[in-house]
Amino acid sequence: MNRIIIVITALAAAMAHTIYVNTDEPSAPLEPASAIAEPGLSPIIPDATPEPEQIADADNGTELVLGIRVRKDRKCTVELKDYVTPDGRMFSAYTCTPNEPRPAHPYAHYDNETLASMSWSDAEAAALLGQRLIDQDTGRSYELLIRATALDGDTRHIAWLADMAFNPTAVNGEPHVANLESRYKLAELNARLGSDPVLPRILKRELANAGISKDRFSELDARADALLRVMQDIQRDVFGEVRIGGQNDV
Amino acid sequence: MYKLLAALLLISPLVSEISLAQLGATENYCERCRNPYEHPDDYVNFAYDQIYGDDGWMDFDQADDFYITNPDGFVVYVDVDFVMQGLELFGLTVPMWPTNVIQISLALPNGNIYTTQRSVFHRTLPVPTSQDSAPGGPTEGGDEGSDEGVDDPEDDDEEWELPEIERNGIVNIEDPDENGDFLDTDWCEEC
Repeated sequence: MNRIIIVITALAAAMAHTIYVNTDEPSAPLEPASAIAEPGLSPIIPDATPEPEQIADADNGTELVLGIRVRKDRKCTVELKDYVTPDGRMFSAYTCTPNEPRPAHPYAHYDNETLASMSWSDAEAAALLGQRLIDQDTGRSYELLIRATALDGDTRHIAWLADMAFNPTAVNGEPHVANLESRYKLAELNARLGSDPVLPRILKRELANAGISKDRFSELDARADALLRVMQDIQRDVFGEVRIGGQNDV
Repeated sequence: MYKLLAALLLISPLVSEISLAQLGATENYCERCRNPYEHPDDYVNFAYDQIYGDDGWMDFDQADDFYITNPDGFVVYVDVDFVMQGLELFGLTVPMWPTNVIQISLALPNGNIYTTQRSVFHRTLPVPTSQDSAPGGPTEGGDEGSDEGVDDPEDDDEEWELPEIERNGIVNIEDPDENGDFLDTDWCEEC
């Protein structure tokens, strides 16, 4: 009986190992360093790379291109090029060059002053200006992105703010409490606007693990409430009524 | 003897998985990524764009982990995972299903692990993160930053200690006051 168990175990282990190795994507084949290494960053292989051999896989929307599995619905061309670093080291790396230039934002040609004026009632203008100012004036960006959400109800503006302004969430496994608190506050606000309620719960768990007290959570929830009131005031000013989550002044 | 043999056979897949963990990680080139010690979020956003951006192309299995190399030769290892919602059982959280948030961890060249999160509902995220220092100038127009010029690429290979982590956070960000008001702003109400 024991021998049968051992044999079955061995077969299962061998099969698992074989399956794992076979489904592992092959690593990028390294080209020999035949080209002359020049200081600079331009690829050695010219851009006019012939279309690589593609092996379609109709099951999951992917295909093999240059030895790696990529999405079939991509809008770019996968290439494997050789590069040379300024210190002469050569390496091969994948890149995906867009097939078409990305369309510019319809307000991209407006300067910041114009956008600031428009953003009183235009969510797109407020969002674009908020994104432009995220590194230069984060407080102003914060205000503008909150306003953009108040104007069009799109909680992605606030999610963008949380993702761009409050990084990292941890370094070497140590949670960054201040950033997590800010993210929690904004996630809580988004949840009150009808967005995903799971995220604040997850952030709350992380903060609790970091030792945040219940009193502190109460403060953060109160700040989320204050932000919600700000958004309601914005809507009253612009629309004459509150339009958040079915709430209204009637 | 049988037990020893069985134990070896059982742990062999685990050992092979650990040893091969990074074997399938492809190397990807990011032309606009800057020094990873000063601007790690360039790499985070670049990684996000390969998966969820308008020009995303990576299969989810492929995107699980990969390397990003910038023009200066800095190599950053990227690990992408869904943040999992779980069940609380006896004080332990058992991950059950993915949320709409992905966690992106960077292993920087000096060994530091930089972890952050991104919502999956964004479209393309900016690389570099600050447009005024983009090599090609602002990507979405605007007049700011034009006098600042282009940031010179970092030439030194010194081991940095993530100085930007200290300045990140809630510094310079003002919440509304107790009445819920932001600082006075001159809105153009006639526009």
